[in-house]
Amino acid sequence: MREKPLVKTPIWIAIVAIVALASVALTVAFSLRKDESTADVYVDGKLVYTVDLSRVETPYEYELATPYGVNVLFVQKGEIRIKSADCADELCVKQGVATAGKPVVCLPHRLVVRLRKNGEADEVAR
Amino acid sequence: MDTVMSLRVEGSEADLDALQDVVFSLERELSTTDPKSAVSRLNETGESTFSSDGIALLKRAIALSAQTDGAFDVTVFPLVRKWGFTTGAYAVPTDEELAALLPLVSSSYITIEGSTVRVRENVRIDLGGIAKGYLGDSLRSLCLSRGIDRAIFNLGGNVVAVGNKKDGSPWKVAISDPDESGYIGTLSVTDRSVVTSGAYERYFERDGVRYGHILDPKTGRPANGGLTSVTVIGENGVDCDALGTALFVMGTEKAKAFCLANDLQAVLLDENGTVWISETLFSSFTPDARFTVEVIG
Repeated sequence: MREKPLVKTPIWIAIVAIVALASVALTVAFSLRKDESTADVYVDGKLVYTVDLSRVETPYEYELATPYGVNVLFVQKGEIRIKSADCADELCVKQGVATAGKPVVCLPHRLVVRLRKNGEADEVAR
Repeated sequence: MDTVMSLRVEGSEADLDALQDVVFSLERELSTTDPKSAVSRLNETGESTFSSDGIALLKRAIALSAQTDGAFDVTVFPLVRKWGFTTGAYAVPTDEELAALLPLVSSSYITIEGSTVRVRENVRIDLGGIAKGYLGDSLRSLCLSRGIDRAIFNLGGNVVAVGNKKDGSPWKVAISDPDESGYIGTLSVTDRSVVTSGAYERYFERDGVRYGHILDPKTGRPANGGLTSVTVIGENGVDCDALGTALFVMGTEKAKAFCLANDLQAVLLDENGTVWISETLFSSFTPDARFTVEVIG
């Protein structure tokens, strides 16, 4: 009679361990997915700067001087936004982070920050 | 058209210039904001002449209104304006205000004789809902006539794929997730327009209620039929544009029935997170793992 619980216990431990491991794996997979994108910065429709956001370890600022004015980009793992700009309305700053479906645009400086998922889609319908 | 467009073409600088010219000349004819456009003249004076392309587009718009039983209608413009979606000065109209404007909404109030278009008094039209689709069709036919057999355009969210990619595989077009930064899924397409309609990009909030920019022409209020995103895939961009708007207005059940009855290829996302796809898209659509996918049928 004593043997029964002894047999059962390792099975439960194993199940709990598998569930725990699976959820850790899922969490890691999801966070990886979210970060796997590349930002392309265009001025006058021409690509001037590109960064694989999944490879950014330390956050940094990047000053971009366009023929129309200066924009300061803020880049960190999985994320890019315009931190400041010398345009009149700073609408580009207010747009926040760029997403795959929604580029950040600074109209006065003819600047567009677009996000694309690494190795996935050629274009995004929205 | 107040939006970001991207043109990627395998061709020469001259090809790109020719395509850009199409973009700007269509803007001049179809815009409601440019006071000199044919549409603006029609809205101001009740009469205007249009180019043969403009007339063809208007006729198609009227036919699409009939086909969708008025779920898509270019004469909904006075209501769009009342809600402030044209200017950004948003306001929720009263029942009386809506009741006063609803009788102006019907494509039967547009008459076409040769190149002359007339509308009944106070009727206003807006081709904004199909202008991007029309632009896509124009760019695609220009590609054919110039011998460009590989290109992909993103016209403010409307994607137009010409031919295949350089490696011979179809273009991959993702559909944006209305709630998060990811995608609903990815479509493989060749020579197709992919047009997404949803109220998640243009809306405003008052007293905790969200009002989307796609209005139901029958009620004058933002459509609220249970869909959060509608994507239509087809050869004709104008049809995709208009039918996407119409499906959004119809709501989940009517939209599914319409797709079946009209052999329409569509990807519908409802507010419960279920993705409904046409059976004919099954092999070319890869959904994101977060979504449950069901076939329309």
